[in-house]
Amino acid sequence: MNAPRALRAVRAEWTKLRTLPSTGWLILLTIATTVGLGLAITGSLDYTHCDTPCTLDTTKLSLAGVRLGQVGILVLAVLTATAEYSTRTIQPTLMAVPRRFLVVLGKLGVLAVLGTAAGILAVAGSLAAGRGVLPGNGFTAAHGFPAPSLADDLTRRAAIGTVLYIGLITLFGAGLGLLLRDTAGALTTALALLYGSPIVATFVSDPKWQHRIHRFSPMDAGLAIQSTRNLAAEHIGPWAGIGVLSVYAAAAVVSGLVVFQLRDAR
Amino acid sequence: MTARESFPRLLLAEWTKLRSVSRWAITLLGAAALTVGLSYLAASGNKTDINAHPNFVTGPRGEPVADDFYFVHQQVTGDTTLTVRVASLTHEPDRDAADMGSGQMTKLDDPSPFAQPAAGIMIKDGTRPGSSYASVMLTAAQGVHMQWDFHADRKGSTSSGARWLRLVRSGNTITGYESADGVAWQKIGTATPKNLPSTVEIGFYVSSPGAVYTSRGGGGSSVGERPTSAQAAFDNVQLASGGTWHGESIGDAGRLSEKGGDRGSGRVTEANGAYTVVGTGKVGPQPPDDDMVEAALIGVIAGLMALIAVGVLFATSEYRRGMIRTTFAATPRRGRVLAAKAIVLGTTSFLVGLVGAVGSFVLAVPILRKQGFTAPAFPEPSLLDGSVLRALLLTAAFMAGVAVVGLGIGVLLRRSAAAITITIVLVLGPLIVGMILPGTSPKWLMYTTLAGGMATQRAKPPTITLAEPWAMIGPWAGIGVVAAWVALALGFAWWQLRRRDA
Repeated sequence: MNAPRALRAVRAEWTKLRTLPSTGWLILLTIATTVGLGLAITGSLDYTHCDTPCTLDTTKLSLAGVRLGQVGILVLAVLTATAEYSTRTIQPTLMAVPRRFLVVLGKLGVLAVLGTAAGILAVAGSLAAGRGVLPGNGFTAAHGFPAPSLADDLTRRAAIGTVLYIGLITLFGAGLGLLLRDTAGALTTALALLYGSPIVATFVSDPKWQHRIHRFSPMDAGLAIQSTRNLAAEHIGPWAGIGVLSVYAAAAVVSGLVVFQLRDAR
Repeated sequence: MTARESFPRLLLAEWTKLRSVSRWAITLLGAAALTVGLSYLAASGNKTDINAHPNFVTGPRGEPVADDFYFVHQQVTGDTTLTVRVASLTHEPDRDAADMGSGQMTKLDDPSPFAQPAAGIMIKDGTRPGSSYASVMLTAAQGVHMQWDFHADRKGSTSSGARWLRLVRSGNTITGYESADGVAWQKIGTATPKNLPSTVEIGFYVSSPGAVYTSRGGGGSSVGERPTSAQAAFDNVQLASGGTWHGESIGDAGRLSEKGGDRGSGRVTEANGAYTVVGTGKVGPQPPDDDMVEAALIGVIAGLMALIAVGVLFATSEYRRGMIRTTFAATPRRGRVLAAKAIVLGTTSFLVGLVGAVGSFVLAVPILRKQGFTAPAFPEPSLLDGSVLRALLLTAAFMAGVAVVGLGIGVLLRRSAAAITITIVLVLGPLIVGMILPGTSPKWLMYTTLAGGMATQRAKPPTITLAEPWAMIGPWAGIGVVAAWVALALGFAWWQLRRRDA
């Protein structure tokens, strides 16, 4: 075993995750929910009921399933960080790999790969579902709705952005898990931040504040990149939005790492 | 020890468990703090300029009202009696939906007796919009009514055909009568309008509230109004002092016709003592749909998340640590353990929720007042108003109910991660979907999911004109939905507890 220590740490974390049945189910849940909800949305659209001119953003709607699907990968990420605390396996883990930085690196590396892979499959499935269903509902090239294709710059940006979004959500969840060491706390915080902030935004009546909340809420900002039409209506630019989510993820990961380094494992 | 004696001990045992886990105690305090904190912060994000609206009319008690109609009147001093026969009342047929330029909108059906096309007689403190009045009228679909000062309403007969109406002024009181034949009179009610000088305007009038169309969904809402008009024939006009009748549009209706628009213009024509009057507009209360109490309770959503976590953990942590076996060894009757847990958690969460709700109200209302939520559109809500108390108590009950549902789901699933995720999604998912779905479709989502409990935060009646989907159902319906979920979750949890090994 002369592989570099970092690689061994990654391999150890991969083995842990791979051998848990829940990992596969949660990833499957992420993909199935994203594609399924996207299909339900695109399937319910009807060109004949759309205003003239019809300004629906079919790419964005095809990918909208990720708003619910992200829950699966988020739970996986939080559990990867916290489950070792509730089952006390964190102590053997740290005995095997005493350099805590490597443990975190291993967990985050494996999760990032899994999250990105799940994201690619979910996005590909959602776009394929949209391509299959939309023309049947009247969203044809003749009506100004060419089938969503990665050859189109904006669609490609939306697809790549959504994959990045899922990857960043995974890191965000893992960081929160490390920081709070508690499944319930980390999940509740993450879900409240993701879903609570858009609800608060509708509550608030001052448009300036609504705009601010949408700009700085992780889900709304991170998914602004899905927009391919009427870009000016978004509260934040596509890459700036991904940037906001990256700040959330980085803050969670860095503070989780610092706390993990400083605290005793118990 | 008998079972009857042991239940209080069981409650005490569960209370000790809840209280002594420091993380839960902190989270419970945090739930109240989060509720108050977010409400306080978000209050400064709410702003309204409704009081600066140019068409804003206030009634004799300072409340926002609509006072638009076509009035055929003359001045009378002192006690007087006016009798007329409304021979007919016709109004424009309703259209269910309208294209208002930006997509389809649904018609808002307002069952209020103030929102009906009407023909009647009125005594009014001058022709200034918003001034005191008392009236008796035949409505298009709700029979005869007597109304005064934009808030009081007395129901008369349900007659829809020709009807004799009479107003009698005696000092400061006005009495309304109706009759089928002009011979046998029935009294409807007695009014004491706030301002009734000795010289008043008296006459007959026609009003027809505009059709309100609303479109909501996609996170926003918009409301449009199309003026409608009604036509009525009056005959047998009898007034003790015989002056000359003068026809005039009151309020907005007058402004519209001055601008040269033919919509909203009223008119009167006379032939052989019979008058045909066309009128438009509404006479009645016109409060804004926005709810200040609801706006002061935004933080509840954050407090809920914390309570869900505690509720789920109160169940799942016993499984994770194997404690549940000890618990059941001490109390073999599992249903009683579940009941004790539910009571302890429910009561604690209710108190936490109440502290959060009252704290939010006390701190957020002064900020909202600085942001334009002031009289006349928003009279200062008092903690002791019936509707405010109801909203605060039911909101606390809603928070407690959701925590107990979390407990039930925790017992069912035995896993914190799954139970927390499912409970949070059960509350937040329908809210988000409901905001996006257009029209009144989210109503059914509110009647069936935990999200309906959000309706408890409103102190005003339900409306479909707002972006938030929970405004569509009433507070009691909302808490009913939550109670049903509590029963369902605890019922399933009890059934599974009895069936499964611990």
